Amino acid sequence: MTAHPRGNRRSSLHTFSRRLLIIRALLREPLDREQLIAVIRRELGDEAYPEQATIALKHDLDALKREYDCVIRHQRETGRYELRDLGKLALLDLPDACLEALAFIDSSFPEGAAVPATIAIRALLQRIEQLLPDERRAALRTPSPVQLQLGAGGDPARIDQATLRALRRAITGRRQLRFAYFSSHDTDTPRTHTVEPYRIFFSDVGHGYLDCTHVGATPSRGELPGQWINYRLDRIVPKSATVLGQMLPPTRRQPPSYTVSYTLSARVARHRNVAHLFPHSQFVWHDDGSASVTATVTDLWQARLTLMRYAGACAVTGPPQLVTMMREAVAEMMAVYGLAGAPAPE
Amino acid sequence: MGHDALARATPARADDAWLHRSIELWLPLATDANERYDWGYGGHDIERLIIVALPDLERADSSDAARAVLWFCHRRQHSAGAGR
Repeated sequence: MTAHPRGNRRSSLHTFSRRLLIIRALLREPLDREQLIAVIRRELGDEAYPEQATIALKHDLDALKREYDCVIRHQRETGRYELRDLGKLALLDLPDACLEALAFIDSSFPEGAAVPATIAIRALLQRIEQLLPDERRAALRTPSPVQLQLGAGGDPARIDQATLRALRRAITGRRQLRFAYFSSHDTDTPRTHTVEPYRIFFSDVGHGYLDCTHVGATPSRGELPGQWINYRLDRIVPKSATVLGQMLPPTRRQPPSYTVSYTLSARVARHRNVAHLFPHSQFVWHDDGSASVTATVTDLWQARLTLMRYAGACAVTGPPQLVTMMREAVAEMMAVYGLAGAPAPE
Repeated sequence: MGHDALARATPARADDAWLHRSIELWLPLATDANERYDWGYGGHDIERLIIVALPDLERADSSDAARAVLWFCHRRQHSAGAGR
């Protein structure tokens, strides 16, 4: 029989393409025999497999296991093949910087989260990790001396996970919570707070907060029972959070709500693309480019913090409590910058 | 998911005051995401995005996770709109 080196080369290239295609398909999801054959025929044409396609597929799967150390398990109950390990076909090598970025995402979205969005991210990470060679996988698990900074993502590592679990338990079980807490006024010793916890939320700068109704503090610094307070999660002393037996009331005591009104100068409002910072914000655009804004809020402290971003381009006109808070903040800043005696602007 | 669906997701809590407070607390992060990712939502659209995302936002354990929730919710809404 005459040898056909070119034909053989074409044939082995064809076989190799088919096997790579099997891996590609299984990387996406486990598939059964018929589905795999259909994928191959769709991509490479009907002639990709001979009539005895099932036998040929088995040869391909065996070759992938034998020659490339791929781990492919057959799920008896579903009849599907699942790719567990790529073996020598783990070809995705990444520079250290990319590995570090991957490690950052990995730590930002830890396993066990039940949120669908993070489940999808975990699935992506698992796929990428599967594609890495063994030594790069090990490098991914080794803490790097370089700390990746991605801006406003916050630092989830600073929130004590045991505290977070206790908070979740109290919220879900609708029970009071007690914890030691360093407010910005407590420099040396934390104070003990008892609260009715309702939810955890995160701000745009990455800080996590516990939204609570205040019950009591020891010693007190003027907090009022029934007051709604947001506690910074990273200021709760680790291991101090205790879920108490006292149940929360059937409905949350309502806080006062306030109509906030402020004027934005033309400098920030001229193009009418002003951020919507409070619920139900209403804008009135003026001919000179400025804007008047009204909104309803329940948290004046947060409103003050939010509006400070505009600095001198924003003038708060109500409610009086917020105007006072803004004046106090401005006076404090003037003192910081040595302008305590400066005349008030017209 | 509208107000009714949210009420089903958070029984006995999805009254107006609860919803208002939720929007107030999550607006800074959602507004920042809207600007950062250039979604182009107006104010009321952002409030609606928060309402739709709320059941998952309340389970987020970090600001990154909360951003991911908003991101996926935005994509889902966007593709649902495109499919009409």
